[in-house]
Amino acid sequence: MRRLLSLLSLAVALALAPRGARAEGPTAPPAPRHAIEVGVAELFEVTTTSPGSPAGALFTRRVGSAVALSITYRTPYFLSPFVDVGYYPLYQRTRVADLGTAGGRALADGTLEAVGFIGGFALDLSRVRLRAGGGAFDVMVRSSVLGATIRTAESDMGYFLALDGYVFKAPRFRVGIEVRAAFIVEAAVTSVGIGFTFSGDAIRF
Amino acid sequence: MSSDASRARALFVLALAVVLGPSCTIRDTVLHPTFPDGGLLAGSAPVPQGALAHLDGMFRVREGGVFGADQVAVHTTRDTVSIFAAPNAAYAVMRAGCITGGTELVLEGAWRHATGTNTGLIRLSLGPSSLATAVCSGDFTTLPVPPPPPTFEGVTGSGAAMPGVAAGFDFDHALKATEGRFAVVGHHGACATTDDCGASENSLESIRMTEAFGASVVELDVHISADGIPFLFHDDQFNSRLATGPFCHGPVDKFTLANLRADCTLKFGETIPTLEEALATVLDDTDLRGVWLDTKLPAVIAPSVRLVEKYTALAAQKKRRVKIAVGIPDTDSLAAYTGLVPPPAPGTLCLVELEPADVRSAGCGIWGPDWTEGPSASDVSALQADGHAVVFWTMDEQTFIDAYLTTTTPNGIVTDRPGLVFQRFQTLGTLPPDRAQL
Repeated sequence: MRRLLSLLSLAVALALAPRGARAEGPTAPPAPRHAIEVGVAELFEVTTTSPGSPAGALFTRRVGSAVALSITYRTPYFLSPFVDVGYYPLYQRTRVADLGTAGGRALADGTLEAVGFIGGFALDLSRVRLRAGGGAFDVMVRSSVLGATIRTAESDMGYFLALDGYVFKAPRFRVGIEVRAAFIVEAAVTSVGIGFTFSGDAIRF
Repeated sequence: MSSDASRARALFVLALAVVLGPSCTIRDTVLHPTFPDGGLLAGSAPVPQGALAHLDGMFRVREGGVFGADQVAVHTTRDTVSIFAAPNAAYAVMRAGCITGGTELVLEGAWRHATGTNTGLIRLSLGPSSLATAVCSGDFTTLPVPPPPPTFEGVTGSGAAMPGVAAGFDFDHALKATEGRFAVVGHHGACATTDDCGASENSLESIRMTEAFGASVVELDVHISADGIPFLFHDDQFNSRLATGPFCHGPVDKFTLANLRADCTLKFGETIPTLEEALATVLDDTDLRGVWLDTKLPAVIAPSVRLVEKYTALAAQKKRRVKIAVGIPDTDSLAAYTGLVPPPAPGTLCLVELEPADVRSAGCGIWGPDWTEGPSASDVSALQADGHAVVFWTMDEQTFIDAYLTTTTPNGIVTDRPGLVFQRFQTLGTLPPDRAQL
């Protein structure tokens, strides 16, 4: 967590650092006031709220690589609506489970993943973008025991919070560091990630 | 930056806090207080089988502020004594033991307001001493005729603190004999999981607690696993309200029994039981008089009927008077029941939630109407005149319980607050005709 906070601080500091004054040509065209912005992010994701007890586990993993695609309608107003679709690897565990009358002690393996469909608003402050929203998470389970595997899924409500700090910002695209947190209410899972984000203006008007 | 923009940004941050804030709150937890080191019961002798039944009755409250009533119902099981009052749906469940060489009967446990989380310890002793000695020995022949009326003296407390507030109860009159005519039906056990009375709903632990909480019949929710085994669970989907487990998500009927055992436990850590385990528990560990299997899918009907046939026969072998009814909640389930091959064994009891005509056409003994459809007094009378029983589901509010008990004569009420229905029936209920198949 301390490392995560350090990286977050670094991202914010880089984003807010003063930049050299840009030369202003006498014939510079006026900047477009609206844009449809497409962004991708790849993050190192950590499930911080334990979805299960590690007691008796032979193997657990709560980290993984998350990816997300977002589309933002950037407006001249102070908030810009966005949608974000992200894949989150949440949890994996292998343990010896006591199945009782259903089979005694047996090896049980499972994975928990989610795909989030989030809508919300983004707030741009210089080189920092704060995004917050809510939506649905498709929570997916794969569980194997006694040689049989089941796959189930459910849709849960969830919240989303992301902070982007752009270390490079050109008129049409931006590269930066993103920190995001996703909280899936029904599954009671919080996932926090940090990684790189790239976004560009697909349409400007 | 304009002041309008500043205000808008401040509002945005405030809205964020409002949206995200609730996710940080900690759920209220219910205290389950116990006496340190087992209390006086730690060194007590057990009460002889059946002796506590002499303490059943309606009692006047001399002292006992936590119950907030002038009169309470006292109900006993094999080894517990319970007190039920109407205000706040208050109840106390106490275990009984004999001390001082069998001359004193002590009761220790906890009281609770079922409408909230108020709780505390309670310790009572039975008087007069001649009655306590008789109960502890199981020999009532030494008592005068009529025997002295029971009284309880003791103390109640608040929270986990040792009790210190005086409590006293005096016998007023006997309970109405309800066996075979009226039943308090515990909704999926002793209470709903969300009420946290000490066990999750639809658990074996809750089934064992059901009688002490005032019910004589238990309603159980039955689903079927992906490999065809009926098990107890209420909802169609696993959810954090009822179950826990990192991989316990999605439709319940996608899980095999092995997956259920590997991935899910009930809210308070209990194993999700199979229907067979539940029926065995009813027969072996309780004196419950009945079971209502609330089948959640038509596919549950066939395996449930076969288990009902098996455990009805087992109950007869064990000379247990327990009736097990297969619930039929909709037309698809009714078709599944009437189309069974081979048909249900003669004497198999079924309960139809549809119209009274469906009860008759299916040859079922019990009608189970949703209480929100109204008291249906004429339908109730007509069915009872034919020898059918009528059990309303699911009533938890005193206002409605009282209204139904005074405008009609049901054979049972399904409830999450068995103690409240018990107390209300004993206070103002009328026994229905004794011809019903209950």
